Amino acid sequence: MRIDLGDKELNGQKRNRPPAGDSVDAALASAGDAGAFERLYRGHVPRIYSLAIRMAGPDEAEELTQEIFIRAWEKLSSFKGNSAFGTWLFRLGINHILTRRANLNRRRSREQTGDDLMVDMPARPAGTDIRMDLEVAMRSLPMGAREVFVLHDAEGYKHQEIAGMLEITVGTSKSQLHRARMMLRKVLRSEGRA
Amino acid sequence: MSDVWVHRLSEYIDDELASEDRADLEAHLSECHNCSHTLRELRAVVESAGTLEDHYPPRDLWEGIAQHVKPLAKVVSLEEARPGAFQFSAAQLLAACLAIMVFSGAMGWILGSTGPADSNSGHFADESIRSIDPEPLRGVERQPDIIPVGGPGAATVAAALRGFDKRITALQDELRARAATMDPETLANLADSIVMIDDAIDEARVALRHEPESEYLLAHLTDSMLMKVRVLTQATQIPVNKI
Repeated sequence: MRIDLGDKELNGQKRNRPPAGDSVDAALASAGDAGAFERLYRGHVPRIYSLAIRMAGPDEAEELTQEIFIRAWEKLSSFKGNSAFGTWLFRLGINHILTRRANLNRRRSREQTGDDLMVDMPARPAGTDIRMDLEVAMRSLPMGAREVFVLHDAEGYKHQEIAGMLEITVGTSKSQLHRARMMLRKVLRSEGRA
Repeated sequence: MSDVWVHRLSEYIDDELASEDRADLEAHLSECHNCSHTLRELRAVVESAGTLEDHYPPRDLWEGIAQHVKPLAKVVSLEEARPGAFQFSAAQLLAACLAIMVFSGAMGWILGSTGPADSNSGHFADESIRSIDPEPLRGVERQPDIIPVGGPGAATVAAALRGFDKRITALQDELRARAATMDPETLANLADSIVMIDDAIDEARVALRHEPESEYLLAHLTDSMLMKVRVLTQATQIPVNKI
């Protein structure tokens, strides 16, 4: 029944339709129904895992995913149903990842803006999947540029929202986004492509 | 790349430039091959990022999560849930019942003023939406059976329980009217949960017949009824076009 999730708007379109039974399962889970929570996990784990791997990289993605769902279980009583469960969970996931990163004192790399963090991304070999190459290339971005790029271009958040989440200025968010795009455009180059 | 306009291309793509700057940049793009080329590449990045697909983790992570997800067991077997040391005072129970009455009344007022979530206006393109027999809701058909309670505050408690029954009946009627538009699996899951809650309510009512002044049993009954109200309310608030 449930595969996709989330109702985050991107370019004016719903990316995915919330699963039908989420509201009921969320209510049951908040009342202590572990089975209902497992159904929520099954439906939402791809989105949360993908967020984790894009924001923090593959080495930490699995652990972060588990922590996010455990956190969600603990915080379910605060879910009031004002938004879709997927939206609430996704935002909780972002907050957890950012908190965890802050605890690991990794913010320094985000605040650095010099070219010392620029990575040399090779052009994409012809015939490969653009999206998969982009997924891999995103992991090579400096932390700050990666976070802004994921939140803005992949998840559809506005600069104002991102600035609030990352505790940076809107100008820095725009700057980091442009920087990320300029670095990633090399990935999309291949023979026979502009 | 030192062209000053290059640094404005992302703002141009995101439609964040002032109209004057936008016009100047477009004039520049008509003359500058490098900037036009870069703009195409940046647009390709943005388009690709918007189509990234989500992936399952390489292994099932549920086992690690499940260790931390322990059922809260708010609805449990009465025999298991009757530790002798767990008792409410009459004053505590009375206060709880008054709070429940306020909650029940407010719930009725809110739902009464907003009405059901557009339950009559849906036309569904989704082929999975289909009429079904509301048989899975049989568990919510049980009739109210108020237990009179003796002692101080008995009338208040009985009134609170009648308020619960009235609210539950209304929610069940609303849910029954929506059953044909609900996903069968969702409906079945809901029915299972309601049956479980009803079992707890029935157990409490039967036990109260034998011990009508038991504050513990009354608390158990009101807890179970409150949970039923909550689950039914959530179910009736699922927007019709998302069922």
